[in-house]
Amino acid sequence: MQTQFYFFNEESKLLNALRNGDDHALVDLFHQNRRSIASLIIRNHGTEDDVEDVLQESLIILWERIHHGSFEYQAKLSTFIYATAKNIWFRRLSRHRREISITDDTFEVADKGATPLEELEENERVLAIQQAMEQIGNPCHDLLLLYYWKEMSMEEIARTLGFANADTVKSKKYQCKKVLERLVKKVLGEGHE
Amino acid sequence: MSDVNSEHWTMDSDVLESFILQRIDESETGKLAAHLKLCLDCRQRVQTEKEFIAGIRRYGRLEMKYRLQQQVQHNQNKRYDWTQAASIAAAIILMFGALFVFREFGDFGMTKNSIREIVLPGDKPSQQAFWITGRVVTTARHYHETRSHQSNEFIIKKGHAVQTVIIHHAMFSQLPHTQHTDEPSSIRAYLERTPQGMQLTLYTDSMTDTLIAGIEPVTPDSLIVFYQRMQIAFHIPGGWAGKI
Repeated sequence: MQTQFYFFNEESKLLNALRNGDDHALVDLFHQNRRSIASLIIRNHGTEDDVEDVLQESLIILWERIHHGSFEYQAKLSTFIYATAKNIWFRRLSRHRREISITDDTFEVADKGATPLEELEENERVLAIQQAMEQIGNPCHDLLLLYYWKEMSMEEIARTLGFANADTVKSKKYQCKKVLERLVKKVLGEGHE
Repeated sequence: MSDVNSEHWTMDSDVLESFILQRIDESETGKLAAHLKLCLDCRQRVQTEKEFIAGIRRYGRLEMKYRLQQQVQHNQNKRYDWTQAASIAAAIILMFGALFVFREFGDFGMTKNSIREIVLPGDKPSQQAFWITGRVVTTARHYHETRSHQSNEFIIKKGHAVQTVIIHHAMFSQLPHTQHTDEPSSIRAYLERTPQGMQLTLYTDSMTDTLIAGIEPVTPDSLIVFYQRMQIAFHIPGGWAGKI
């Protein structure tokens, strides 16, 4: 019974920390889950570098699900992380068409797989937008990230970035989108600006 | 969210965005999706907007991944630094510990006067005989050959001082009960000054053929006896070179 209390306390602490944007919680989760993810990946043709990479991506997906409100707390965080890492790794393996025989424990799959937006990751235009984001300055950089990635409301963004109100943010966001589109065209070699 | 039921709803950027970010009720989403099946341009606009958001999210993810990598690295470095600091601290403690032992029992500088008094009070039967306690300083696997000696008689020299030391061994069971000590890593011995030289009788449980491998003066009043795999430091009251 005591273990159960411990489990819920620790998990809810971590969840709260993640909700509040405390990145140290991610570092803690990284260290806590490294061994199990390493065991999964190394047993399935991966390397130490793959372990780090896949675990980091799994943690970011967890972070996104929590922030986007789509994380369903049905299992332990470690179960979610393991299942996510497993999906990422097996997707990569199949993408590289490696001849694999999957060695895996029977784990409850808490991750529902990639969302439609995540599936677009390797799209050429998506990669161009990513590159354009590297070039765009502030406040557009922060504003676009807060709105489209962290899914903050206009009011929250106004408070965070010091805009007068939500309407100002909305009009600024429109301008930023235009700037980003121009940069994307440049990256893709479609424009001459 | 105006005009969601109008034919080309994808022309409204707010509706388009809400549709992709799933911020529209399921019932309305169904209607909008139904229109997409009939409108190629609308599907294209949805796809373009999806790519736009996916690109920003991919960038955000990579940026966060980079930050996480840095933090994990920093954290590992901190752990490593801590371990390293602990190792250095342990090494310093060991070094000072070794230095202390060396100064207590192994100072070759001839100036050391603070060797612990080993003679127990009331143990002096005469000026020429003493009960003393030797401290096991280290255990060494091998001795230097020059220290080896097949007999139990040694002539030790340091500067102008010369002394003959005869080492005897006696079983611990022969040690008088009053001379027993609870001190760890210690060996009781009986020191006698005779006209033939200094006689040192060690009381230990072990008995080997090569009873004494070597003997070496350390300071004017201390010796180290190399015995089996031990180095036993003795303080010699009156100095090892003292004659009767």
